[in-house]
Amino acid sequence: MDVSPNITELERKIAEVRILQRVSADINSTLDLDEICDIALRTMDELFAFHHANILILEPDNTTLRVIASRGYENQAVGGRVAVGTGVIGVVAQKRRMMHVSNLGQQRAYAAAQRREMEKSGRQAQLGDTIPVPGLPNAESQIAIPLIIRDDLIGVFSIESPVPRSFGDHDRDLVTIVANQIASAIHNARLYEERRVAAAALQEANASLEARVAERTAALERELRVAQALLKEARSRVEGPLLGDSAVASGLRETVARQARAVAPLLLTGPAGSGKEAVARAVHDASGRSGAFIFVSCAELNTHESLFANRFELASGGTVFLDGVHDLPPEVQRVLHVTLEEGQRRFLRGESSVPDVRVLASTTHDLREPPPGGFLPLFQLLAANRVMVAPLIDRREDIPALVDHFVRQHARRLGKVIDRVSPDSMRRLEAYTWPGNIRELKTVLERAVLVCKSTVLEVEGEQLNEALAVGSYRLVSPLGSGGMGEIWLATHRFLVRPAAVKLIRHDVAPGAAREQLVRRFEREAHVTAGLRSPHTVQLYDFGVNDTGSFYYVMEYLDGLDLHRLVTRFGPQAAERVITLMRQACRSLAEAHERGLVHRDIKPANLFVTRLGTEFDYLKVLDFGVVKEQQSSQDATMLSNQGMVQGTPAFMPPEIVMGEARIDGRADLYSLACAAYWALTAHTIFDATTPAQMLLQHVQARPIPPSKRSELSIPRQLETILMTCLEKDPANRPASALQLDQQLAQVRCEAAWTNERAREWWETHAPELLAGSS
Amino acid sequence: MVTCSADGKPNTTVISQVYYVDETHVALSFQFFSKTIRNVRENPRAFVCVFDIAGQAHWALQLQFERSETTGPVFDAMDMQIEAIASMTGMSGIFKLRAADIYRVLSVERVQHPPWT
Amino acid sequence: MIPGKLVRFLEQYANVAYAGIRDRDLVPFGHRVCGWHVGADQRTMSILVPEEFRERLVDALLHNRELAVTVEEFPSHETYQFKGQYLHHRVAQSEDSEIVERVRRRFVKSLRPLYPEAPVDVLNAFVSPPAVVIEFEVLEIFLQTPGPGAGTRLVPPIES
Repeated sequence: MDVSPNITELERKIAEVRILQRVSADINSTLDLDEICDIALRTMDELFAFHHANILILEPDNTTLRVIASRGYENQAVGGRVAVGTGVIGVVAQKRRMMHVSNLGQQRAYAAAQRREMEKSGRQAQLGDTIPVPGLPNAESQIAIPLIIRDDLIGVFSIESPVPRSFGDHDRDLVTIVANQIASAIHNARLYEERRVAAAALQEANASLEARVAERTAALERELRVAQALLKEARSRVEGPLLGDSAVASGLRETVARQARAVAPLLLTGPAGSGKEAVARAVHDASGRSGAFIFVSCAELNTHESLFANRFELASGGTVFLDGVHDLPPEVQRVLHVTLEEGQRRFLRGESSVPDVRVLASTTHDLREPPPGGFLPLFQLLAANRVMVAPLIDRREDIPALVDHFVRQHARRLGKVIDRVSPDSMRRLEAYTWPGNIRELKTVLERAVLVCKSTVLEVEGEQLNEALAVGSYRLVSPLGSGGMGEIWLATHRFLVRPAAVKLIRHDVAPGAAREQLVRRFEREAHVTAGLRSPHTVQLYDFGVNDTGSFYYVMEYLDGLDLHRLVTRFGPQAAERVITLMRQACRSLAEAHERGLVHRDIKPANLFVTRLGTEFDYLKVLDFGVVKEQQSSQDATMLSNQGMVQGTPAFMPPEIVMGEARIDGRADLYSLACAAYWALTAHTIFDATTPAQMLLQHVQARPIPPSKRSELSIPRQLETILMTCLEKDPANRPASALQLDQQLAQVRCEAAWTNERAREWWETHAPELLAGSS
Repeated sequence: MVTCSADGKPNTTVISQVYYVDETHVALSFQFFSKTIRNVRENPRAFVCVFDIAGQAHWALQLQFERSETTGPVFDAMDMQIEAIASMTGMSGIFKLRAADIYRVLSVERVQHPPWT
Repeated sequence: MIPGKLVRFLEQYANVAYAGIRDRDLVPFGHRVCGWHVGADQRTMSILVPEEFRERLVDALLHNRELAVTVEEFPSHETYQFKGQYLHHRVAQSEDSEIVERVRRRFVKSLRPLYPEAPVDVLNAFVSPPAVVIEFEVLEIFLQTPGPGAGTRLVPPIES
């Protein structure tokens, strides 16, 4: 028995299986349409002696098929088109069934004969055009298979031969297998392409989102610049402090001249209100530097990035004045020190002729001992070139010159004619101790000019003593200044208890900007006054000063805000943070219930104080940017169109994006950011510009706090915080009360008790324990 | 194809296509009423001869008409072929398939042509 | 009776023909014929039939005399069917072979474009040598060219 035909048959079958296995692997290894077609057609070469093959794709209009790959044709078939329903391929696409024809020529000849008869018998009208189809013109055998994936027709795979009956059943099976591979591979390639396009669209959407956020931040930065410009303008009118014939005054003028062209950083020391800013300004003006004079209130900085990237950038070619440099966070002081040192070294080596930014700094601290939390090397560096700006009492002989200057200034502004100051008044002015120094002098004179009814200015004793009277309170010493106003320590006329008085900044020029600030001030007072929670700073009184300044009187709090606390003492224990957060929740719960959103919750507004025998008592401050949930009319009037209110590092995404409907859950987000800060001493995102920070609030996922703190953070707490940090308010706790309840459930290694709190204060900040004195 | 009427008159015609259905059936297209169609409905016996030029032979089939189908896979496949050709030659719908006539194959004989001398 | 045009078709163009018969049980049968020839009176026609068909054909005709012959020009598919009654038959002679030869040449020529590579012997083998000649009276002629007119009786003309 001759077995050779069987063996040959077997070998052929094995070869076929191998080819099919390989095509399956190859075709699924690529997502490129051209490669897929190439693999399929090469396989046709290997399986069949005849290798005319076409792959057609259904066009998006679903009525045409187009050849995307072909093999074995003399003339290029790619690009050829056939309508669905025409020819073997078109009918296969239409009916979605395979077709196997073996005698095309014969059938076509037959049809041609019929057509001729039609024409001969005068029936041309019934005839349509003969339509050429892509492929072999003399095709006899053809197998056409629809490429279908999940009920969708993708195209048609066709092989042809000029010889009748070229393909048998077995061939049909092989072609079907390959066709299925092609369909599947094309489908995958398409899905991949769709996803790539979708990803590109997403990227584009992201880019446009980033552009939107950048736009919003540009608005924020514009506001910053406007405010600074206003300040600049205001401060240009402070040449006063350099006037006078006293040794102090001439000493200051010499200092200015000497320091103007110097390059080393300059530290100005002296009490509040003595005129340090004026001196700094004068130094800048005399320096001839082309860039701007940028005033930096160090108490309000968060990260060194924002210090350098922003303010130094703005000050490029000019001067940066760090007011209250002792208030910089320790790591910022460190970085500043390194930068200044490096700059000095380069200058000494002759690498740069003059530093790009001149650094001037001020501090009210006595430099005989370093300020608490201060980075010693920085102060040593700064102290190397320092000038003391003496208190006013040390330069009494300048008072007449100063009075003259300020009176004329105020009179001009208030539209009065004042020839002189009465001698009695001048004597009084010269004798007064001026605890508030030049600033106080200026205030007193402004008030006197305002009430003056003649051309001779009078300053009564009471006016002097009460110059700093605000309602029933007397201003004692300045505590600090913020974006809106100054805060003074004050005492009640009759009662012993101290208070904190917030005044609107006097040197903002009257006009639209000031009007707006006044309205904000009023709003804050109204809102805060209505709140009763013991964890909300208590408002005692508010009103209008004689000079038209708005003030309000709050309880004086001895302690530290959370910003300073963490800045000085590092990340706090989780149980302590929970205790503080829960108190903040209770304050916010009341506000939210009244339809009020704080909108500016941040560590600086969370004040940790001692109340009687309770330590670590938290009070929420500064409802100044509060927005009423219900009526948005007023709120939008106050916040300018498109301006973003709030602090970038703690701003919830919905406020970043300027959503119309903001509710209490925005405060929960900010509170979580503050808690994050307290637990890790890091802001939830790192950024070099406000725009970057804002964008991350909208887009980025924060790193869990446990990964950024050496202290242990209970899982439960972390989960709660991350929930508060959800982008969609709907995914956060529904209310401050709910958050409070969730926090109450967190189990910590040790509870934060009043005892522990007291111990902490006694150890770390005993000076703040003195309380009201 | 040769058919025969009930009254004994044969009819010979040339057809273009015989469709394979399965091992025991073939199908012929019914596109318009012809003598052939009328004949097999009177007298179901039919004779078909298929020429294999390359094979130098012919196949003689004895058939018996079984039924006429107007739907189903056989009809669809025949319809597709007819339509495919018609659409290319501008004759769509003119000689539309009306039915697929299914015949049982009673016998098949392959006759090799003797070589020509 | 057979129009001149058809005579010309038969003698000059047609290159393939088939004859159909039926037996006593009305079972039809058919076979290729290798040649044909119109009678001088144009009322009869003869077909030249190869050996493998001879017996069956003659049997049937002797039984019922019914004959239907279809003649075609390939590849144009111009086709006519001639129906009639058997008259008589005789053994094929040499002049019959000449007729077959002419048919063969025409047939092979028509096939060439389709099978350019096929050896001529293969093509020639399709037209077998004649064994018997059947003469019959043509009673009806039908147009069978595929098209709208297929099946129309030409002779005798259809009365309107």
